[in-house]
Amino acid sequence: MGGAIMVTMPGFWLVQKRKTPLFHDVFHLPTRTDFDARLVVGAATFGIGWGLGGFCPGPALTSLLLAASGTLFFVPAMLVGIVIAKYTAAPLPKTLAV
Amino acid sequence: METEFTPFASLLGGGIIGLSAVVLLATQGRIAGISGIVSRILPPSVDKAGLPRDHISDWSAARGTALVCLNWSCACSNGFKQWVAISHRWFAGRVWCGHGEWLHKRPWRMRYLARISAVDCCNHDIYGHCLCDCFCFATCPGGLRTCVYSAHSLQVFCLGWDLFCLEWRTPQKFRTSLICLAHGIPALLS
Repeated sequence: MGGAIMVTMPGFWLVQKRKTPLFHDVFHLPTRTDFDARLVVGAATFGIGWGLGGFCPGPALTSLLLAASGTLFFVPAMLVGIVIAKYTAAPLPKTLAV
Repeated sequence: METEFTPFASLLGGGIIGLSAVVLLATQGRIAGISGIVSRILPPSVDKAGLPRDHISDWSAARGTALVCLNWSCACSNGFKQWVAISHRWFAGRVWCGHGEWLHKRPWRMRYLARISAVDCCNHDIYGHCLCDCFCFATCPGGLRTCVYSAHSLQVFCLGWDLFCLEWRTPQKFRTSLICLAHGIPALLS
């Protein structure tokens, strides 16, 4: 994580000096900075799932291509969870074009 | 599960992940969150979820992520040198694809291309991958060629899906989308 932050902090700062991305019209960045119950519950649920499954979504998908046994159960469950969340959550835009 | 402590390799790996996030923001203007990207390609559609309609960018991001995943799996199974070789050809493909997107996004710079639609942008992408496939068949050795070909086939599959979603009502585009989907099936099975 430290390695990623060392690259992304100066990288994001430099990139956002541009008015637009190279191949797109706008930057899609989160605009909300407040905490609410939805954020806290969502983050906690994510953490519990990570702890129970032993994977976070990115490594789970890459491990799926290597046919790691745990991911064969974890990834389908994750996809079902995402679809359920999309159908049940209130339709709030999470990002706005800035 | 107990894992070995590898501080330098971990730092390098983290740095590469960070770099990919910076490249995604610089090129597509999006945050590299894999659960968000996966979420966008699952039902219900972005419109029904109340999010901005932005199929092409979403799919581009999803395609990019799929390729990064594929590259990582190649890195794990075949070693770093081959991964670098694949990434370099993948990057060449992205530059060509980026050109297609550029044509689509800035038609005012080239009036004769003013009628270029999102679907034509997909077509540019497909031409780019076909070109890369030809290049790869001409230059790569056996195993590596299979990897690169699979990567591009996977992207052509995604593009076929783009076309199908956007223009399935147009017979010609519908046929093209089926051809692309068929082209990508071996990559999905391999």
